Amino acid sequence: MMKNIGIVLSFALFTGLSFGQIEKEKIKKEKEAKELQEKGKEKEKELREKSKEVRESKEIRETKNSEIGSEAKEKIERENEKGEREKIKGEFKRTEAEEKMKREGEEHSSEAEEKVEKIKKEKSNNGNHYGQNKGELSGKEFGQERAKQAKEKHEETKIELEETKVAGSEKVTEARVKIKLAKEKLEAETNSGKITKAEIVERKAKIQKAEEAVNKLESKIKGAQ
Amino acid sequence: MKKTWIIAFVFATGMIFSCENSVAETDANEEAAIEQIEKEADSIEAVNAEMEQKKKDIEESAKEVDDLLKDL
Repeated sequence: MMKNIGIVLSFALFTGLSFGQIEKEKIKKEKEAKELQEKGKEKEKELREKSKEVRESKEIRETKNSEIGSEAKEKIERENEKGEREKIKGEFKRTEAEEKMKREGEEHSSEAEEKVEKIKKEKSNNGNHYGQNKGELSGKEFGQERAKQAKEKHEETKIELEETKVAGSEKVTEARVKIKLAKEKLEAETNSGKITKAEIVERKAKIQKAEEAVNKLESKIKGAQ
Repeated sequence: MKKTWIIAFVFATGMIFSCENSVAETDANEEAAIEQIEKEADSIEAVNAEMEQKKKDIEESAKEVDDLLKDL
């Protein structure tokens, strides 16, 4: 009888231990899932903050660019009134302003480039071959690694896109100034009778084409926001 | 003695079933978590592709503007 009781007790003990282990595993899994969710939320927050920073710096750059652009335009108008000599001087100043604009843009973009380089250095693998280490990783680990790489790539792409948008905005400002100059030059030459009607038509068409291309570029930049 | 063994057998069988159920449940949870992570990665990759395309479009337009400005 005692033997039987012993067997039943040992089974009960075994059952209790097994259930305990299962419960432990469950709790562990739940903990892991929660940690994952928290990590995801933190990364999302980081991403949002970073994009906010990039947007703010872009806005600052845009206002700077527009200020520089308007200054250059005013200078050009004054030059036309004063005459040819002063016009040359003004052009020189304008190129200086453009160079300054470019330099500023480069400074800002170099910061972004540094960020990109940092991200690249942090990456331990080569490129985006998400499946290359799958053999060593479990399904969940592989998925997490892939998501991590995708997020890193996302940050990198975001910075690159911001850089392209800034460069595009600078190009738009520069192009608008050049188009205005070309228009004024054409008008002056038309009034002085230096060029033929055919030439006038041809140059007007070129100016119009350039204007259309600038508008297209501007809308693409706006569309990417 | 026989009775005890029957009780033990029934008990052990029940235990095995309950363990199997628990393992299956854990596996299902694991698969759901993996699926969720994969979905997240897919959506991020889709956004990345879209951003790359926008970047390419802007670069092409900027090049076009550059070429046209040279003609002025």
